Amino acid sequence: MFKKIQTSVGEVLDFPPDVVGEGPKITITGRRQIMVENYLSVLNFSEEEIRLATAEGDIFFRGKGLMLKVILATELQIEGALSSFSFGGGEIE
Amino acid sequence: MFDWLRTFWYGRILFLARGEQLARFVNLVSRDGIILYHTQKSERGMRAQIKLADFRRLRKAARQTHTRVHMVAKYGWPFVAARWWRRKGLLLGIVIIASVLTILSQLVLSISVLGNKNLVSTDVLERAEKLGLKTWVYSKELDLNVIAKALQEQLPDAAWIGIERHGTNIQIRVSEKIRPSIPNEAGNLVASRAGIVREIMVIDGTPLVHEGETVRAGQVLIKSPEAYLSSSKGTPPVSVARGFVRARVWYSAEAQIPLVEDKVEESGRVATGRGIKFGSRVIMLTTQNSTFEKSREEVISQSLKLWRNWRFPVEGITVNHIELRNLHIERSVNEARQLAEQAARAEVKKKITQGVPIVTEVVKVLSNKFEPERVRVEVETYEDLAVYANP
Repeated sequence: MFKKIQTSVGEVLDFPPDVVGEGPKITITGRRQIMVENYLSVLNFSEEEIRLATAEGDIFFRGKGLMLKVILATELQIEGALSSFSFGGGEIE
Repeated sequence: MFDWLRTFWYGRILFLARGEQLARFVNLVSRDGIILYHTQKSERGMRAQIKLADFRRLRKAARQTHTRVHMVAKYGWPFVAARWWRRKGLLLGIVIIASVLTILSQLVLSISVLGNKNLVSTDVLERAEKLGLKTWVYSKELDLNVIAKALQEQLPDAAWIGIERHGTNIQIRVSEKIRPSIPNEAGNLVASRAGIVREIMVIDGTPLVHEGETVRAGQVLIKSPEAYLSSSKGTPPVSVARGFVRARVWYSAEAQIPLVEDKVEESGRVATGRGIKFGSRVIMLTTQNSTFEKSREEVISQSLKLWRNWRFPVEGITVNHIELRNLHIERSVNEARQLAEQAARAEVKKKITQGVPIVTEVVKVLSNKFEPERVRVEVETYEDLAVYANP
């Protein structure tokens, strides 16, 4: 209920979605740098795949030589050769 | 750049974590506010970097997830500092050596005399020591030009004396007066100047002049006694004439001072500019041009000698702009005459051997109406003329 009001108020006031929602903000620069804000936790990680839990469901980064460059409580930076990125798990309502 | 500096300053630890729940371990750690850097999974486990201060805080998360953490490498200033702190003696030694070198490099450690043939080095050094130039004194406090001038006055056989500082070594460079040498008259006493002989005292040798005789410079006064040729082989023993020949000697000098004179003189004001010289290019940092209307430039360049004759290509330059001013002088006849007399007397004094008593002094005015004031000073002394032909 609260989330619905929050979203509609945000729409009326023209807030950017990352301020209103709880979902992650993902910034990919080129193929080598990825910045994820507002993630919940790291589910699994290796050099080939990194899986993160977010409010909008799990996200996958696949590639080669992936490395978590900086890990903060709500923000993380990934570096490596990225080949694909996808959402999974959470159902779209 | 600054990240790298910060990383170095705080210190980093590279660790290896092994366990089944590495992802949970990462989540717990980041929730504790610890930042992990360069986290990467490998076959042996998870490698990551962490700030030195956060390393102890990993324990809680490690315990909860049964993860074993091993330190792999340490990097940064705290570890370097700790290593140096363990080697306090070495550090202290370096500081002591540096300070001793700094102090010693400002002292005079050795003095050498160069270019002397007849002058004795120890004599020059002794005189220099009396003037303050000795070992173990601060070289900055010595005014080498003044000492060189004073030394030159004390040593009449030196035509020029220059003192140079090369680090802790001070070189006294002597250029001696070249006196005529007459090999045939070795051991004979000859007249140092022309004069009328008044008194002869022979200790050893044969006198060749008599009292009342006029002698010229270089004339033999007392001949050395014949070498006693007892042995036909080998060099004959050196025989030397000894004695005194006192004589009246005349000296004279003339000087002229104009009544009206225009000349350029240094006012005493100096503007100093500093700059850098690179090859033939000169970049002045301060006082680019002379601030005076009329001036003379004195350029001093300081270059860094690296090794042998390899010099640092950039030189420091100091330019002294010395102010000049025009001087128009008008003198009365009396003033000009007095000045001319002073100048002539000073000239005569230079010629007279030091310490010789002056018997009479005559001042003659030679000027007529149309010429500048001309004065001639004639001095008569009574002195010992006999000197050895070859010193």
